[in-house]
Amino acid sequence: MMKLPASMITGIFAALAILSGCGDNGGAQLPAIVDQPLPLQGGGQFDPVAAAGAQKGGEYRTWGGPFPKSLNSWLDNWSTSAEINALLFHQLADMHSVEDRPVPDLASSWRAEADGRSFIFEIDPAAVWSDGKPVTAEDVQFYYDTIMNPKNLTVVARSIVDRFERPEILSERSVRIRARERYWKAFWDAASFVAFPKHVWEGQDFNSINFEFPVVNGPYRLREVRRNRYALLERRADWWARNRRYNQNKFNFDYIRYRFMEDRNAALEAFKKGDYDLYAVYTASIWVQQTDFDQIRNNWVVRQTVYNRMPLGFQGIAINMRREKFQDVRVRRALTLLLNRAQLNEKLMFDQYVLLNSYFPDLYPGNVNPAAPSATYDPELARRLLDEAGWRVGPGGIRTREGQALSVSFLTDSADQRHLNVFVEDLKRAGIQASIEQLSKAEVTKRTDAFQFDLYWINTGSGRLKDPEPLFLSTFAHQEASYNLPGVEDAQVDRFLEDLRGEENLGRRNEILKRLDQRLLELQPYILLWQSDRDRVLYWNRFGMPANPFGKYARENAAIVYWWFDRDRAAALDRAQQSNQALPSLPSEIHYNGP
Amino acid sequence: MRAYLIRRLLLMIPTILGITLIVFGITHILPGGPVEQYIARTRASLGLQGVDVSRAITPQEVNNIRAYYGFDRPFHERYLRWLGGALTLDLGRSYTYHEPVWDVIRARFPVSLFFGLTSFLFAYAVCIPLGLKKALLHHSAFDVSTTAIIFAGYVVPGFVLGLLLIVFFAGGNFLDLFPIGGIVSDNWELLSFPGRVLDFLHHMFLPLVCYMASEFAFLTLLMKNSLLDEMSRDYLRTAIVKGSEFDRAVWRHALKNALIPIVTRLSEVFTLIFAGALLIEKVFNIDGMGKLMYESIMDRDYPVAMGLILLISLLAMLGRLFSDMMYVVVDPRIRLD
Repeated sequence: MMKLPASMITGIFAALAILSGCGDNGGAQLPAIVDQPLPLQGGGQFDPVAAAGAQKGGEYRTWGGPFPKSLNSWLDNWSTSAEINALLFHQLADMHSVEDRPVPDLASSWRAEADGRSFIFEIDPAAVWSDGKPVTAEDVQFYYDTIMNPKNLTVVARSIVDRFERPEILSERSVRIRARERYWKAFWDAASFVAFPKHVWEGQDFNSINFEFPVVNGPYRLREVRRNRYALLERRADWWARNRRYNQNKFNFDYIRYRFMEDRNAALEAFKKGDYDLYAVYTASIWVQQTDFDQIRNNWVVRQTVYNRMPLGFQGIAINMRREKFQDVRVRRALTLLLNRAQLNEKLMFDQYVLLNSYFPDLYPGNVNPAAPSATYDPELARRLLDEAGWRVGPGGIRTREGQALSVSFLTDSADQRHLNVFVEDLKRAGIQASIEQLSKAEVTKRTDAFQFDLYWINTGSGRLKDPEPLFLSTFAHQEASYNLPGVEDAQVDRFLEDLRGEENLGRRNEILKRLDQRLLELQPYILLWQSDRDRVLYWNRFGMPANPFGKYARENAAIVYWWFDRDRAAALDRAQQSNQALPSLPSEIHYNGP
Repeated sequence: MRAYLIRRLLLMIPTILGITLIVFGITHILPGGPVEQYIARTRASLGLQGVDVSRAITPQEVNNIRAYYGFDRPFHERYLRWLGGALTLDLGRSYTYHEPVWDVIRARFPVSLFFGLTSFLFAYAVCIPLGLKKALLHHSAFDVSTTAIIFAGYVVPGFVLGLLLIVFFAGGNFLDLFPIGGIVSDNWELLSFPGRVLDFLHHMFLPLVCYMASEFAFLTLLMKNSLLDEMSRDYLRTAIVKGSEFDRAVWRHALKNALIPIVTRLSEVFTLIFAGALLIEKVFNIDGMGKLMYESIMDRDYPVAMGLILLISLLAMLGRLFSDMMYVVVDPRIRLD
């Protein structure tokens, strides 16, 4: 019996020897894509972000996060699905990469009608589906019908599409899209319409279209999907828009492989051994503490921070101003002054975040509003403000007013309460009864929907077209489940939002937003926190890229569009790895330097 | 015996009905059901786009969503509809995967069966002899050292062990002997049959080690303690006094009785196709039964959760019955009549 474990151990090692001989099997050799000849399209501008001399070919492997339940982003609102769908389907028009104006996409031209709410899009005469059939106005109308069908789980897309009447077919390639009412974003919402292949999908259950998109009109097609493993996209040799000027030197990889892996730590290990080409680091502690490995020291892997003008939302703690105790701005200001953001940033976030002093940080250079002071930790001033507001320190060191203690409670569903714990202790030291109420996500949603909370932490998103109305308009202050969590009710804010609604020029809109920002800073409905203003990426040193690798406004997913597989660099990397030599270093920081 | 068998089989019908009715009832009562979850997800997406929620999620939309998930019908109608489907092996469609529940569950069978069967066979092949040896050498250096090892396996959570194994044996820092996750390589479909088998084993080795680590301790100590218990009984002393050698007495008399608690666990063989451990599967990126069970509950994917509960309950009951039959084989004193 004693021999059994020994023989087993021997067996295991033998098996290991055989199995490790299997190799990594990093991927089968995929055939190079040979482009079909297409007539050159003149006119239009080049994309200023794209780099001349980009090469076609190669494979790009990126981490797709957990395997999505569906790749149909109109059903499953998941960023990876949306990214993949954007490569499969054109929208009518797109926003220029650096300028605030539209550029042709599926439509080659468009015009607004006199009513200001109708737009006629002319679909590019060259536009064809991957099965050779022309893309028609009917396909755009079919998109509308599909999204609007109440049986389809397309509520998010429907919220946009529902603002329009059914598209009117003017000719085979011409379609009129009319908004139900005039509003500033109507053109951009209409331009975001796509075409669905009516000749393929008509009669099918859209809710069941999840992983198969046999007919597409974009630069890539979905070659194969393996559950919980990968989705492989293949560049289309017959992509009709390839020779358009704006598309030159873009969409360079022959193959894009989204590898799905649930665990972020395991994914980083997979990146280190070369299973991924690029890995974006979203966690400051990982960036600072776990990115000092041999591959980086040898410059085989590039560790780079990229700063550009990507749209930033704000992170903040909503102060429920419906509650009497928070209606005095001095109390709200005191709460802000008691949060030691600099210390939290230094101790818990390794100084990787920018401390916000704006609700629209990306409107300002460096994401800092030069006209507003940054709230610094000042417990003395906070105490004075609370005293002035009538909250005096009473017995037991608790601040009271008219016999009522000043208490604040943080509502949260997060298990990570490190930041809140520090804040709670500082509040207590100032005489405020502070506590954390941790509930399930469902309970928290129920409570925030009914505005039953003191303080609640939110992280908002943002885009190049900002629409802050749901966050701050008075109308929503008492409307259940609205986004106006603090209950902002202010005539000036409403006026600015009204001005925004009527202003279609983006430059002028940004000026109004800055004035709105100033008013919000006076009101202090949120304790503004911090935001990451940079992209932290690790990538294997085998790629060519433009001088501004992620363009002006995009994140690391821009690599799919603008980067290319550089054969010389790849060969140099191979040689360096084989001889265990370091490669020349590349800059650790890149700042946007373009139009 | 036959009458007992028939009685037990018939008893399964009300038991299954009871289980499914209770679980179905709970899904009806629980807050944050699929409709609420869908609305919450939608709201989050809309929030990021700066869309006014009230404009998007109108009462009509809420009704549409309720109808899609079948919540526009009364409870009893929904349950009877589900039960009718289950009787014809139609477990409905998954709310999250948008495909038949049966397909969703069946897709996980191979990996879970491999986990279950391999760890089951390994556990029995190693733990029973090891437990016997430890009992016979109680308090010896061998006993103490093996106890330390198996307890280390028991106390280190499987997913922590998984991360350690990845870093040391499958990462970019130390040894790179194994793939980091998944169950097969990208080019698996292009490999020969033996190549596929090897590739699969290559991927499953580390997860299997994590999966078995805690199981080993339990079964080994169960075997050891059970045998120690039997070795202290009078009948064994009597046998030795009567002239039987110690080893022979243990093998002939004590071992058979000591195996009875081990036999109980044989009932698990019926549920092996549902073997899985959520955290290990997450770490190794394995789409197995543990993850499916967890996600179906968290995502309120009730058709999948109900399907899993139905199948597991049914197989667990059959397993129990099998276990009872095995008692009779191991211990003739037990009669099922």
